[in-house]
Amino acid sequence: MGFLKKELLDIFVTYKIWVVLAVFLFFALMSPPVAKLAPEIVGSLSKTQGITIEIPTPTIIDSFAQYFKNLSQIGILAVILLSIGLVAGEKTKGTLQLVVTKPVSRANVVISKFLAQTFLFTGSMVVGAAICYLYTISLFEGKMLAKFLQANLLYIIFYILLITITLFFSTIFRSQIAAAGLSVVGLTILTILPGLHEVFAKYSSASLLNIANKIIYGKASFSEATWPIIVSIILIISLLALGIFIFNRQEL
Amino acid sequence: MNAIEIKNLTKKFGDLTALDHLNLTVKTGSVFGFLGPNGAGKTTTQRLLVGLAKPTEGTAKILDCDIKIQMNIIHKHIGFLPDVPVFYGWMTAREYLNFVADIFKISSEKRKKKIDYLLEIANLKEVKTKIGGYSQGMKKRLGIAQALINDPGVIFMDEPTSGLDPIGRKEVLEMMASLGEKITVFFSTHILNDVERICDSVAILHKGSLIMEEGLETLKGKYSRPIFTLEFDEEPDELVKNLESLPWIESVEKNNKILKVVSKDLKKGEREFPCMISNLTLPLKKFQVEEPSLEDIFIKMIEN
Repeated sequence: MGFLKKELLDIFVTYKIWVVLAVFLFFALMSPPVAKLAPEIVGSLSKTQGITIEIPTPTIIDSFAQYFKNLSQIGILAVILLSIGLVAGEKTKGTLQLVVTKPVSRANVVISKFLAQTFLFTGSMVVGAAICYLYTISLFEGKMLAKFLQANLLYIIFYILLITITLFFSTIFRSQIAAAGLSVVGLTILTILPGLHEVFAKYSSASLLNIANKIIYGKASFSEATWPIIVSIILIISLLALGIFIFNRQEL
Repeated sequence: MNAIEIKNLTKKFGDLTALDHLNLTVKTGSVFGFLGPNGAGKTTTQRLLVGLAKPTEGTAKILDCDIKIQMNIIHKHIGFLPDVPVFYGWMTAREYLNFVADIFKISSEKRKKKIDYLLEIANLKEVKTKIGGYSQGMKKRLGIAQALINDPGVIFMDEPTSGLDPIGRKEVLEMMASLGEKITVFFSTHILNDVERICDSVAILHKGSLIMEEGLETLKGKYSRPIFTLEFDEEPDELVKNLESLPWIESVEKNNKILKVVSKDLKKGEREFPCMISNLTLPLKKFQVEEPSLEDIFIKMIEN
């Protein structure tokens, strides 16, 4: 517990929590008005060009779709950037030498970092989602809480998987650049897989984000995400176990 | 009883043998100096003993626990200060010691008293700034404090005084000397003066191999040869001849009117030299006896 407590404290003291919260809040506060004002913005732009573009009246769906679109890009970047140094950074600096020569198992180090990072992103995501939802229903008509929650849940699972992938490479490498590079490669493979074969599309974790977006548009049900969720959980557990296994054999 | 028993401990990095079949025992309660020039394998030995690295061959027992299979138990009963201790810079000394106390599950009643005591002996009680702004000396002292929080049976210290100014060195040595007889101190250094000041026993390591392991007094008794410096008003050729015929004289070096005589026996030299000089009626200007420092012994052994 001692190490987990330190990891949680680290999130607050080193301002990570405020950075991540700021990212999620920015999109939560920006997406609904951007969706609402999209027709006017496009309209005024097209007038200056002398073209007429018809934009349908925005709905609650456009607001949420805008929010998730932003999260799928910047959110992923934030996860990778803030997770690459989790273990690799401590190895390079040497802070782990004093920790692992005490009754702190290396598994404890990895699991604590995983839990703290999951808390950081899940917590921020929950706050961002709550603000986005409240802001959206104040600007648009209608409510779609269940679908919005389902989509958020799928995003959270994907983020946790991404945290695990980055943490895995951060654990097995000493260099943060190597860890970041391979995390991006891992993410790219995950993203490409669904397009390669329908089996991958059905089972791959990368489908989580597609399904989340489809849920918002009412084109998919949550049950379609069952296999990607199961595969993601298996991947998370396997990568954590493999990371700990390799870390236990490393010299610090 | 032995606190540390090292058997055939070997560490290879590819073709390089950093530690070659080291055998060593350290008695409980002793202050053991692990000497050697840079690159001798001192840090490697410490890293193997505290579980930061794994041996290629051999093993060791610390407080009767095998480093290969019982490191989790060993970690509960040892303290470790690396060569360059690195802390979480955003913590204060008190916060770091609280973090370590959390790891050792020290109860809140004992904790405050213990941390106050450790901050006191580390001379950090009044320091409220974050560790990130500490000097090397402050970090070393905090390093010793954090290594003592669990009342360890054995404390490992790698070059605890290196990189410190004279005041910092003195403070760290005083802190080490105050640890008492309950704790076995195993510390590596290449600063021989430190060893002379606080160690009971020493081992000398060179190029990964153990050259010698002795109690400090035995070592000095065995290897130290008193050097007599005699200066005369005229060249003492006859005295040189007489001295060279004596079995208890190791060497005689003449430089004009000055003689440097290495004797195997201090007392004999002190008794007999004045008589010999008097018998030859040599006009004596200077009579000085020097005992070689540990540094002289160390250099001699490394050269051999």
